[in-house]
Amino acid sequence: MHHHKLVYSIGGVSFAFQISHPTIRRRLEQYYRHYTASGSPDIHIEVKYEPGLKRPTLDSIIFQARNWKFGKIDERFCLIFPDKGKYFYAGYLDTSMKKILLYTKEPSGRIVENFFPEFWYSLLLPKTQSLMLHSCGVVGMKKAYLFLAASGGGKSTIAKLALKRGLKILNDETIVIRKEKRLYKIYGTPWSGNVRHYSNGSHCIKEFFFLRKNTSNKIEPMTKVEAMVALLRHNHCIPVNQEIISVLLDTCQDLSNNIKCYWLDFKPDDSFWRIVDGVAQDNS
Amino acid sequence: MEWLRTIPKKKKNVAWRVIEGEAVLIPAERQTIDRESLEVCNQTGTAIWEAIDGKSTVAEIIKRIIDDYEVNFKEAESDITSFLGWLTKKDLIELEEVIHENGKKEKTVD
Repeated sequence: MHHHKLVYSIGGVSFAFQISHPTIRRRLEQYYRHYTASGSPDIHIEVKYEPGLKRPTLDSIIFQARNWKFGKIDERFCLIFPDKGKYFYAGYLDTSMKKILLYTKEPSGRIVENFFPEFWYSLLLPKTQSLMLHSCGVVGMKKAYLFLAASGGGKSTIAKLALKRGLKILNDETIVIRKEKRLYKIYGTPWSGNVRHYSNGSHCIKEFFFLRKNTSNKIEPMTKVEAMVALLRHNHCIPVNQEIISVLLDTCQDLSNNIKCYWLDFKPDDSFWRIVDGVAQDNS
Repeated sequence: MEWLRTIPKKKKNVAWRVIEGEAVLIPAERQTIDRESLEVCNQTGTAIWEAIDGKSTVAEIIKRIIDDYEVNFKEAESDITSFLGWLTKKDLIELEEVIHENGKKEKTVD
């Protein structure tokens, strides 16, 4: 039985899993194999297998989606997922927001590997002045591109076109951006969308392209206010308290002030790259 | 005239930033958070939003806008009343108190 911690780093934030259940442990080792790290983790996650786990009752609900709820029990944040159904877990976050205790009655580890870390990571990320964006990150020979859109907005289409062009995909759905010294860097994550290509890489970024599907290509600079609002609408962060929302606003404002943002109308073929590369050339 | 003595107050759960003269408002800690509830104020709205300091009455805010933007009282009162109504409807401010002639305060809106 292995009890040593599994340590991973995604987007510059490291987290350690402590898992005694062998199947769940193997599943997470496989899923995060490209993101292994060493050193002292920022977040500790203990996963406990509890076959008899009963659904806890939240004292208050902060956020709820179709099949999961997020709220508070005894002043601790708690995530319950799914609310109903066969698979079920409950996660607790301590007040320092650095320790997570996860109970699961699902022995394969399937639901632990994906939704849980992404959710908690998005919650914790603003504390590091970083953002997790609904976006497709693409890396070429010399530069990187970031395309932002809501679900169905064209991110996977862009990723497929980038693959055809021989570019590397950091992720087609979830990208972390963080400021390092005076540079802004995008990081790949394992939490991908339809295109199952992703990589653990990072690259400096100078412009954002907010996608709008169209029958012709057009590029238009955004105002800073448009960029700010779009960034607030395209990030994964759930603003559960004033501190997080304040950091979220500061981070989005900093990005809208320092990254050039564009509306990109594109038709789904290779032709839009010329416009994108032209803008990138002007900004370099 | 009681309306003019009302003191508008920003709700504590509203976070905001001003970018290029336009305020972006985002409510927090609601039962459910709708990302579409982000609001952007134009420049006049932003000036009124910034003038809401939890102490100034509607009359004082009108005076400040008249002084800063050189508009007449009627125009300023109309714009401010309309904007404060919109903020109240969006649950971004509360109108708590009326100061009576005798100095007593009365709660007007929960």
